[in-house]
Amino acid sequence: MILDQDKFKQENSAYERPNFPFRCGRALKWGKPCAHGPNNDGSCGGVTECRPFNDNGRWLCRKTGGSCGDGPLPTGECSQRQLACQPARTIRGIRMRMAFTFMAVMVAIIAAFGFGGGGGGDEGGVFLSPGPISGIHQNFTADAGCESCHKPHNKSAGSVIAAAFTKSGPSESCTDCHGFAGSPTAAHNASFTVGSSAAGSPHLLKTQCSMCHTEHMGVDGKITKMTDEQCHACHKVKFDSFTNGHPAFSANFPSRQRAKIAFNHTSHFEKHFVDPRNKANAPDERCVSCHKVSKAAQGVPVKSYKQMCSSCHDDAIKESSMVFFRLPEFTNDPFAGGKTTLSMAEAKKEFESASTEPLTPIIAHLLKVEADDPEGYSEAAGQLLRDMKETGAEAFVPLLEEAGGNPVSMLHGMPAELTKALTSAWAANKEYEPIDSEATGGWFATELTIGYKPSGHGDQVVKAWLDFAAKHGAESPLAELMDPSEGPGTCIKCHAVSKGAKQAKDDKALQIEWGAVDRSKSPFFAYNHEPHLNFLKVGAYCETCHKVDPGADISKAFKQFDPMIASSSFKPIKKETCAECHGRGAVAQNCLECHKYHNEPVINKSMGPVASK
Amino acid sequence: MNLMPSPPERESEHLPAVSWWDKLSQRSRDMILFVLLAASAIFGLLLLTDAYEKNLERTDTLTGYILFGLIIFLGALNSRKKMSMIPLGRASLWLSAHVVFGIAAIGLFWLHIGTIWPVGLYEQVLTAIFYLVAISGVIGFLLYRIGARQLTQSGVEVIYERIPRELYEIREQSEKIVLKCTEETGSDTLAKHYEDTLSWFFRKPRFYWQNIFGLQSSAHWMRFHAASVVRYLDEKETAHFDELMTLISVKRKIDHHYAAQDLMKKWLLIHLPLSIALLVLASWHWFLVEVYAI
Repeated sequence: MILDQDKFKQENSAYERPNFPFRCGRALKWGKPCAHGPNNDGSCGGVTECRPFNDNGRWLCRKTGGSCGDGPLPTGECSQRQLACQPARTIRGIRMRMAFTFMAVMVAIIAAFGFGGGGGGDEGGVFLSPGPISGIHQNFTADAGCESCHKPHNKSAGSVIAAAFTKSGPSESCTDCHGFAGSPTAAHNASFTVGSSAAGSPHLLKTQCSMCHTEHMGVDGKITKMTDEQCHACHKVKFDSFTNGHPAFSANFPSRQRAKIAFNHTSHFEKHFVDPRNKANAPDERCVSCHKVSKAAQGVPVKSYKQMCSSCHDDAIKESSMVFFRLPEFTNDPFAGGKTTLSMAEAKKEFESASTEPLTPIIAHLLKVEADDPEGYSEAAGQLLRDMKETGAEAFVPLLEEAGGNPVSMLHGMPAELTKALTSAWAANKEYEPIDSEATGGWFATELTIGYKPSGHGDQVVKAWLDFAAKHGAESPLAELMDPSEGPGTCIKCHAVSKGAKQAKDDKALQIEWGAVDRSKSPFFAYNHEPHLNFLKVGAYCETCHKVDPGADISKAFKQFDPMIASSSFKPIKKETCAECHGRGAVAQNCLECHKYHNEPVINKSMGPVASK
Repeated sequence: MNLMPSPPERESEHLPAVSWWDKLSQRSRDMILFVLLAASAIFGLLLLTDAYEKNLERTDTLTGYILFGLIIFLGALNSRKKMSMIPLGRASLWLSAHVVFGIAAIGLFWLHIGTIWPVGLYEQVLTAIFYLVAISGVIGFLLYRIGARQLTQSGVEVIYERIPRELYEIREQSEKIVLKCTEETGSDTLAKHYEDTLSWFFRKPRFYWQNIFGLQSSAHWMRFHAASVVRYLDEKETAHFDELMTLISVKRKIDHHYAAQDLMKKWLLIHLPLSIALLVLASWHWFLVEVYAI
């Protein structure tokens, strides 16, 4: 018993084997366990007290602790028999069995559901999916399921195992639907030069969608969420927050470049709108009179010319007529055809030119002659006059085509009768008697000229001529057409003339910015006016940030052709202005509030099943 | 010049100073070292994941591999027990590491999944089993800490597998005392009392749950039934009854051992199979991630 000091002696204490799978059934019922214990197969090992030994034909008792009195039976069996007990598993045995059972159940569950079985609808196998994909992607995976993004690796078991040891993530599949202005794997989908703020980053040239986006976060999972720390992974200038360490805004912020329209807010606000003569036309509500705040986004678009400017500027536009052709001075009769007969030589002596004017710069350029050299241009100009007499406006077509112009739009609406009647009068060495065609705009003729008067803002013929002039550069004689002080150059008072950013240095061609006032937008800048307008009350506080600069002179920027030279009628916006609200705890100031990561993201047309439906 | 005699030095000042570290048990020292190691590892891992995030690297891959390795290490405790012939360190050292790193694995698990409860069905099953393993592990640790201390304080040692035999022998001994008492005194008072009450107590382990929860029900039972019979016993019978009371006291301690050891062994019936299930599911999770996500 436990109180005996000698209880662990060999003859007093059985050797317990807890690692055996079975234990005695008698011990289970709190009776006296036998010395033998159960067999390994779970049967009772104590039916007999010993296993007799055959010693040269005689069976000997081998009972532990000494022979029993009766000894073995003649058959060799022990004479001391008792009823067999019902051994049970040890706790260890039960534990092993449970462990194997659990393992088998898990393997069975994986086998049943882990290879795409078990339904799951859009998600494929419920045990394959790590969670529902975001709501915005669910429709696009409805038909193809997981394979919309993941490679199936279902060719063979080997291909599945091989995929485990190779890069086989879904990053590349994203670009099946998502497109960008630049390489999808380049940082910001853009090409950065050495020395940029992110130069030296290992991810400058090679990024993966999964670096920032994680799917299977649930239907409402925010897969576009990006932290400031992720931005700082590449950007050299690291800071805590917008108010604490963000670099100051550029000197002319937010004017990154010259506008397309040379609208001087300062002079309009402080001079023109307050002039009593303009009282009837001047807007009442300052900014919102011209800007469409209901469509405010990154920019606040302006209303049309007709809504904003026409009441004051229409008359000036309609008066800016262009002199296209002028009968120049001739030393001999240009309609004589250049024949050298005696009678003609006599006639030459008697010829007196009806005009003493030079050629117009346009015609001189087209004929490739000097405008004020009658000897030099008489042959070419005479030929042109004769052609005009015969074919009308068609005479200019080959000249314009040779000079790179577009005769269809440049001569649009020029009546053949006009040139024929005009040249007929000139052939008789008389001045043409004009009919009153200037009143309605369009092509017209005077005694010695053919001209064009714009019908109003946006006249296509004038635009065609100005584009033609701009194409020949600022040093061409045609540049006179773009002189803002007279003629069609009136357009250039407002519309900027620019040199393309990608133009070669020796390419002198210019282009006229016919568009509205929108500046080119930075693809990485995501400022949105709309929430600010709503917050600041519409129309009332635009000037909270945009303060008119009384001393601003934007004209300099429009007297040159580089559109990237910034100019604004407003004082630059300082970082501190934004920080007045975005520095307080209530207003967010993380990077993505104002910046965008991707470069002009678009959805490709080949979006798959949904797009094709 | 100081002519005052110096105070006599006390004897204790000559004894070597024993630091608080030396006063701790080996297990406590192991635990402290492993806690420091685990805390350092987690702190380092947090710094590493922060660096990974700042470098736009996947932290779930890093934490996943570490967690998978840690789960295998925790599972290796069971193998260590079976391979006692190989010198792989003290079993108590392994147990301390198992406890500390098992708790650290819970934090690492949350760091890995980034939430308390994932959205995918498979991940939810995996998470549920992980939590069950973790909870059963913590409960097991508490059982070991409380149960083992109580057993040490009981004053006897008994091997769990020998308890049936011990109970049988105590029962046999008690019956002998009762028979002897009847033969010597000619009175059947004690025998009747034994038949009516004490035989129930000696038949098998009693007061299982009361012993587990540390209640004194068996002591109350013993006192109550002793008081109810002792007034009817003469001097000779009382001497035999005292012997019987000694056996009852021993039986109570064995009952306590049985309850505590039984619970400590049966607790593993939950923890170990769940751990095996966790290993299987985690392995499949690793495979799926490698095939489809990385």
